[in-house]
Amino acid sequence: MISLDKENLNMDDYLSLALAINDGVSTRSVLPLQFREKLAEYARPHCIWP
Amino acid sequence: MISAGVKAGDNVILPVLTFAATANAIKYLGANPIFCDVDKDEWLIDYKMLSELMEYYYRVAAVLPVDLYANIVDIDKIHSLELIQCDETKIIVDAAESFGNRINNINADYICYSFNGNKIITAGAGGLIIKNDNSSNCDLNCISKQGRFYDGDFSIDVGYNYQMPGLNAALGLSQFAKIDNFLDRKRQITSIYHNELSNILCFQKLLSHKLSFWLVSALLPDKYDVVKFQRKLAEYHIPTRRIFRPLNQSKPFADGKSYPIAEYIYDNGICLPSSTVCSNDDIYKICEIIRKVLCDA
Repeated sequence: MISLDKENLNMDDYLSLALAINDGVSTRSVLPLQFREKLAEYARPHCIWP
Repeated sequence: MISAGVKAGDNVILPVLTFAATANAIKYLGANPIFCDVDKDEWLIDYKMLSELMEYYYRVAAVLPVDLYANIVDIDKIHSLELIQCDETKIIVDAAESFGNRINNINADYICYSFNGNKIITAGAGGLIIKNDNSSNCDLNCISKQGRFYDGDFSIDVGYNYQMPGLNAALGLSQFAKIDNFLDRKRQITSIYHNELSNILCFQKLLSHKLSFWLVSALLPDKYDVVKFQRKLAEYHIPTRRIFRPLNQSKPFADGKSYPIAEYIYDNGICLPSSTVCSNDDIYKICEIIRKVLCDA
């Protein structure tokens, strides 16, 4: 498939969304916190992310 | 910029060759965007002109260099400009396009990445701010949570609602697990274009092999019409995009000035298909068609 800058999303990504919807508690704060921690590990030092 | 203390009426310098979002953010605050031309090879902010602008305007609240098409601004070079008033002028990097680079370039006061749909990884929307711990007396958390501190008390300043929803975070986490694969694909795609087409296209000069290689961009041979080139490739179902139009050419940002390098890059430049959904065979096929189109011209 030829595309300029299309996102690379597949069923796994949408499944993770469905699981998040199914788990109402974790959507509120746990997932943003997990994402933030992953990003902090990966990105640069001194990372503060709202 | 709010966190950095930029206020209405302040001068903020940015490259004229960037997506409108960079300048829109300045306008939201009522500050004055001041454009700077770009380097002809790297397409990043021109350090010499930046120095001249700093001297001319004297008080500049912030400089917003842009990692255009994932090429990386050299923050140390900006710091080395004598006229950067270290305590007064904040450096806020628009790195929307460069998430995933492995360059230790942390001397900016703030670095802002995007997780919009077309970026290296997406969370559907939103982004990431990295800040230097010592750069601000204002709490980004507080600003993004309606002005509310961790202890539940409220700031005396107006807050905003920029928290990341859980659904976006779920998507971001899923994408994050694949980032190394995406970056490898981007590197391969860029490498194929450069190997196959460097003799006929003038590629943006990339400053490191540790970039994230978001979108491959190049100048067409002199006098070749960009729109005609796009139409020809579209006949083969190959999508392309022009380089960003210099912002001074759009109504909200018209300043009556000329930026010859940015205008030249806009007039002659093109972005090539670089999505990670493209296979290597797709890219080789695109290269073959580009060679044919340019040779037939």
